[in-house]
Amino acid sequence: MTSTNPSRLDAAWRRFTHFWRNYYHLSAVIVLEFRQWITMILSISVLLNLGMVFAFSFISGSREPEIGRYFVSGAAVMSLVTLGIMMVAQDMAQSRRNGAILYYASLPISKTAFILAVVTGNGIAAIPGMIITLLVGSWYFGFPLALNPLIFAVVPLSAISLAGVGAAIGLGIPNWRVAGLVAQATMFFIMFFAPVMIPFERLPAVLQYTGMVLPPTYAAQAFRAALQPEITAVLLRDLAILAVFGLGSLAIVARTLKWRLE
Amino acid sequence: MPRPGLAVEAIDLSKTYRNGVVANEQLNVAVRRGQVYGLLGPNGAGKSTFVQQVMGLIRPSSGRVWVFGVDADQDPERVKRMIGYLPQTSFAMRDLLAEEAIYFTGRLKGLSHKETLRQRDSYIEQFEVDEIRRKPINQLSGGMQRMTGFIMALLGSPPLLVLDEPTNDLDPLRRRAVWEAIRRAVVYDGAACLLVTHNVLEAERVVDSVALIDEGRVLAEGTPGAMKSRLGDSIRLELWLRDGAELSKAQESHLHMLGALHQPRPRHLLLRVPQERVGRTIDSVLAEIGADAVEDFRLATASLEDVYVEMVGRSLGESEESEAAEQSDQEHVGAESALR
Repeated sequence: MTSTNPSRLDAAWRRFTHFWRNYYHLSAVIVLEFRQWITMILSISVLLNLGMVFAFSFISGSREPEIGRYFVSGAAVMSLVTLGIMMVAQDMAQSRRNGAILYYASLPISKTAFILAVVTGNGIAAIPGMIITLLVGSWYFGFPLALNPLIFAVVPLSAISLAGVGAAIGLGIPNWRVAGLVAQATMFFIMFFAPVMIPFERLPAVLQYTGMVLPPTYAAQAFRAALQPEITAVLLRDLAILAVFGLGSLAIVARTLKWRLE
Repeated sequence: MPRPGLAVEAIDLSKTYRNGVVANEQLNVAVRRGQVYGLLGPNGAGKSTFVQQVMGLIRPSSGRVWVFGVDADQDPERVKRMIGYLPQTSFAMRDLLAEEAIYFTGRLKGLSHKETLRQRDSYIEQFEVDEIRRKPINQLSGGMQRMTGFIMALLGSPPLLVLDEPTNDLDPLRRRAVWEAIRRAVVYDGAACLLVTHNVLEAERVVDSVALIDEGRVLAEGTPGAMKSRLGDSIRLELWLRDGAELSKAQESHLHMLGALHQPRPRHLLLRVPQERVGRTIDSVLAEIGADAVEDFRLATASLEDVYVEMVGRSLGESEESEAAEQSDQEHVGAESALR
């Protein structure tokens, strides 16, 4: 017993440092790859976010601060949904198509680190858009902008909790066009049929139930709570739920998605 | 159990995809350390599937494959640490500067920061490709992309190099540099190299051993010399006809009687004949089609390409034909001028 424990610990430590190094270098690769397109990516993500906020405010016909806070936090979560599901699915499908995934798969790297790096890279690209949406939204609807430090946990946990879905779509569906369509349909569903942009009580009962099992619901709730200065029990509970979704999603990715090409 | 001393060993390796396509069937391959092993075969012969089985990226339906005694299907992670891979088409990190892509590949292979920089700079200097450093890969020419990929494969001096068409798009000097680097890795570092190509003429000069693959099966295997001896001591007579001169059906069947006739293009004929009948054959051919119809002709001993054509029974693509013609130009100038 005494002789196996340290060596096991040692192996676990080596696995962890290997994972961490893979994650760090792959994230750097993905962020550097955005360099050429950074202006385009930033302007489009800002326009999309603001577009969503204004469109929903026109539909509701209201500029009430409370409703505004709902739309603004919903739009911020939608940008995380976009990156977690759309961008990850597209990145995976695209890199399968152009052979990039074959190259990564030929290297001795952790696939979970790879997926996390894709989420991180896309997440970093989404952050400026979120900040601008919050600033413009709080000015337009006139609600005070108070940030809770737990926002720094809400954002990554929300993104990761969705990345498993994105990775499954991008790696699991053989045709890249179909993968793109499925990712878009998922986005569409979350935008209009989940309690992210639409208030929970306005949804029919069926969609209230489906909403309860979707991570974006908790991401949106947590985001709204994190726009208030107090740390509430509800916020902590939502964070815990997101963490469970996130870990589960990564575990599923690690278990089921093989570096295989069939 | 895998035999010791082998870099790659495949035993009865078969793969049938879910859609019923048979990619390879009962494939047996043994690559020794210190050896360049060529996989020759037409497109769709099953070469890529085999390479991906070696790297543990495709599970065999039956049979096994080992890399230095490690089962590629059971422990792909360990196998990948021993392989430097150059894919045939594009690779990852295309929006990165070439020097960054090389750097990150080295780091992902587990090299330290300092060691990665040292190896990267030394390969860039060795291949005289300083101009790639500050350019994004997607803006490099095809040849420079290949060189970048080749350097990425060499990083960390892996004991097994798996190279898919390494010299495609390269100019003659860079081709030579690539072949020299492969030979150095194999001879001095004792590495093994699994070389996938359909450029038969080029392969002939660098491989120690070769397997001819078609429809997922090994048709023949051995040293290039042993492969060529399958064709006996035959000579290849190549003829190019003038514009407008084409063979009639009767002429064609006549030529068939003289030896094995292969016609890659309408006015380009390849005729393989036993050595002792060469003189008579030339006379007969000229009598049959007339000296005026002949634009140029050439004699050569059997090449690996002839073995390939004979066994695979299909012509190579146009581009390889012209490349083959260029290269045999250099080789057989002596024989040709002596005949004129």
